[in-house]
Amino acid sequence: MNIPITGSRPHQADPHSPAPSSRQDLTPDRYAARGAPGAVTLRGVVLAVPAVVPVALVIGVSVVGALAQSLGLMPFIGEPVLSTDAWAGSAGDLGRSVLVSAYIAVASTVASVIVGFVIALYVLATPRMGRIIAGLSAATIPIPHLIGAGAIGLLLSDSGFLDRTLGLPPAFPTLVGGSWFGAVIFEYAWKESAFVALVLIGSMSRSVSGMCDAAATLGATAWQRIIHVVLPLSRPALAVSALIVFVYTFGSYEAAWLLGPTSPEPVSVRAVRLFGSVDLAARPEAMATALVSLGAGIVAILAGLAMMRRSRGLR
Amino acid sequence: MSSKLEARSISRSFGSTEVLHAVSLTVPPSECVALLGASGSGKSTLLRIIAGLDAPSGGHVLVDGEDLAMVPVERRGMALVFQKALLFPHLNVIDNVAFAARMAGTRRKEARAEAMDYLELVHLADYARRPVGSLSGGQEQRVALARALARNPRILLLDEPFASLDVQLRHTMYDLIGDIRAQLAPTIVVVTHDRQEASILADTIAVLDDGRILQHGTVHQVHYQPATRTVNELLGGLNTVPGMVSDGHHHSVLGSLPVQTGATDGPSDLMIRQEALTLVPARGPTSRLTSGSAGGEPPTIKGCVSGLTSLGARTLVRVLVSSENPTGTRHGSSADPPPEVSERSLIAGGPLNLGNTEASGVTLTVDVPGHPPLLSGQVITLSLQDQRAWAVPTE
Amino acid sequence: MTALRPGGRPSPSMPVGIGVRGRPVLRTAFGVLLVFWILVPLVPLVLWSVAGLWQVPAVLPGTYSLDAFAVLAVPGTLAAALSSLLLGGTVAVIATPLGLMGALAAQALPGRCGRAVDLILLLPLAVPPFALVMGANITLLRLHVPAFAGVVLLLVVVALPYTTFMFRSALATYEQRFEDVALTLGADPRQVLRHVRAPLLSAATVRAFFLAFLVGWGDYITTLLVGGGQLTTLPMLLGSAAASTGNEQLVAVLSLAVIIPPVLILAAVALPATIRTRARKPARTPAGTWVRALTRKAGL
Repeated sequence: MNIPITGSRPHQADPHSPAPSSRQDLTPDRYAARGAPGAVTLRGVVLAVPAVVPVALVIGVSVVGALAQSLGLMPFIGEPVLSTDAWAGSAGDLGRSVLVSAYIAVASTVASVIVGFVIALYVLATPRMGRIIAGLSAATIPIPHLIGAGAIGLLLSDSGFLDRTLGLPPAFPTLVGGSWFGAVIFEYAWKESAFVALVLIGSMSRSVSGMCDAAATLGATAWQRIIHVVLPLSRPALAVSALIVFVYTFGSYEAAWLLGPTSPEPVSVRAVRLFGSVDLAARPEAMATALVSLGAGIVAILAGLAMMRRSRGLR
Repeated sequence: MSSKLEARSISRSFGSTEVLHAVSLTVPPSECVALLGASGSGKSTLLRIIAGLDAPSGGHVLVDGEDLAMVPVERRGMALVFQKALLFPHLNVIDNVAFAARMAGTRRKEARAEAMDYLELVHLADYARRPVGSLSGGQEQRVALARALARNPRILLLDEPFASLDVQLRHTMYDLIGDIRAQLAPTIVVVTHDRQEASILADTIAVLDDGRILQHGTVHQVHYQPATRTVNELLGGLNTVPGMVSDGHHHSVLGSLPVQTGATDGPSDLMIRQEALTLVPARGPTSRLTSGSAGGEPPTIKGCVSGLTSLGARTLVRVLVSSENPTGTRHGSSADPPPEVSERSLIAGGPLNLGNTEASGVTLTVDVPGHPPLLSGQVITLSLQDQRAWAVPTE
Repeated sequence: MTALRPGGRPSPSMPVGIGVRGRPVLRTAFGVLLVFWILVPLVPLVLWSVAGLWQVPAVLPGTYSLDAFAVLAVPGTLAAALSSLLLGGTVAVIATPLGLMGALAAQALPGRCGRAVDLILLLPLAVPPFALVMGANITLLRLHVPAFAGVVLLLVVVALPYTTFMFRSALATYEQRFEDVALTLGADPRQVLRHVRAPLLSAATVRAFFLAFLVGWGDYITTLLVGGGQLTTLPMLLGSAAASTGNEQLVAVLSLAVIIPPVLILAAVALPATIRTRARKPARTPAGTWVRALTRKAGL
């Protein structure tokens, strides 16, 4: 294959171009993409190193550093002394923080998955209006959560825009700073539903209209098409985006810090408070909190992947 | 369970582009009609409108006389098999076939039992529990067909369902459709661009071009009695000879040939299917064309071979027939470009382009069995079977 | 035939597809509701940015003024904006090629190794940014890594999953045979790279760069914890303004300053493509005409 291709090129046109060397160029490049053994593996390793090494190094250093600091082996100042105080001493508070974070993450994930699915459904079913909504959803993606949190604060706070326009009754639950983290969950649902919708639209836009046409000719009503066709088709994308939203909202800081109450604290807020504390003894506790939230994230991902694999196996 | 389908002056435009122009079509119960046309002719749009997947800009779809305008797709009782199988990836084979029954509220167990019958019909009962991803292209289409049939459709719509299958597989699918017609006798509309497929499957063929039905007739009619030159071309007719009709005869380079009764006088194209021409073993008649007036003998045409194209088991022989130079020796070499017919002079009729023999010839194509031992430039005689010359007024 | 169906559905059609039927009014109303959901949080932001005096029960500001925007001309704000720009740019410039390399490596390496590369590059998604920073901070300090470099390093790690994923999905749908065609047409590997692969991956590159830029441009927590106040970016200014009450105008103006540039970039990148697809006429394209002519010729 290779030789005639190279040979057929008009090398004669340029007497200075060394034909044999360009033939050598061709071989590794062509086979590289094909996955032939040998040179490919080497090329793959060379390509992988610059990306993999920084990630592995930073995460490794970070986890080891956090572990060592949480055990007092890497103090900011002073002699290293092994101690499990940071873990044992505050286990109760830490556990409460994990529960609070899990509550926020579950509520935000459920809300964003439902709203995101509805948005995606509308976009896929309604071409013209849908296009506008898809565009607006995409436009909210670049907005950082910090700004989202600021905006939601202006909207939902006690004398916020919502209160001013609707004249909420005094009995209405406090959203910003309230103990149910209403504004925090609202902010996550607002930002992440757009993300979920875009993932769903991207994964389904090609297949869904043909499949729904087929279902309609088989007698499925619009509602049945949603339940028996769109929902199952969107399940893989739905599961992946839900997992991403869950892990993100579990460990996110900005919205929980700006919109949440001072107590109880989710893990991120607690860790950052302890980390910035003038009391250097708080550092190991901050590290323990960070490690716990990292561990929770990993557990969530492993559980999610296992669930996805099992549901695929069931089919 | 089969119904009569009627499309009454269906129009459809996308923006400023009109894809269908007042198309009307009637399909009697249990008949199979093929909508034949090139891509872009509007045939799939018509099918989608019949199915209710698309709404017409004008016109009506009627089933057994009932207007379906207000009936949504899912309640039309039709089933549509698409070019892509569109099997639901989240359901296995049997649940795909059981889909329609499940939508209608049947219990899973009963729906599966019913579906099994249809899987047996398409010879895929062993595949019931397989995931759809494990099927081959032909199997996918058979499942799609079973899924459509399982809905007990009053009308079965097929949108190029076999276009992506290879030739052998396609022929087994034709047999399958034959079985299905024998067993269930549904009314069928099949959209295709393949005239052979249309001929095999359908009782009648509706030829669509540019959003209009040019002709709707039996398989024989559209092949041998095309309504227009375009129909002839769409059905693969290779010979169109311009000329004039008068007194039941067509006058052209070929001379005077009797044509069908009722042919209108005036400038007309003569259609002679390549399959209707045969080679006559050399006998040495002198006239370049003898009309069959003397004793029912088929008319013969004399010309010289200008090229051969093998079709495998058959061969297309191109024969140059020229009015001034009937033996054609001067154009013997196959390297010569085939002479162009000057249409204007032909329409004008009379003695054709006296000074220019190049412009007064016509190339006829003959479809013959096997591989005849012919040489370029060889003079041969053609015979027109059953006087199958057909003249239509020039478009 | 399907090629004839234009992007937007034609007017008289009742769209099937998912086909949530119902009165058009209701459909539109529901659409408006969704637009509301997306835009409402931004309304008070915009109003506050131009509000002069806006007292508590009033639904709309009592007076309007652009005074708050003056903060954008303050040298401190300009410096912060420049830092943000520099941070986003640096992160994007590093993370985009690394993401491409990682994606190519994951594709080129056989089975398990390829999956391992994928996994490692997606791992930062599982690590809350604050946890990543806290663990690494002390090492960065002991190695005397400058604050800016430290923030860049950590944010590159945070951005790599996004850039890798962008290239990964682009490569998954990338048609390898285009390169083969180019080779058979006489292009040498370097020309293939330049004239085939680069243009085909350009959209993914733009997306990856944009996402990586956003990671740096909008970052708050990493800059806060590593920079320790040395590195002032727009989100840092915004964070300190938002943390206390009574700064609504300032928060609003700074928020807009953070939001608007990326949205403009997004619009600049996305809109021409949308307009191009919309302008594509359902009518006969030259290619379509050719196909028709050829099928006619072939006697179909």
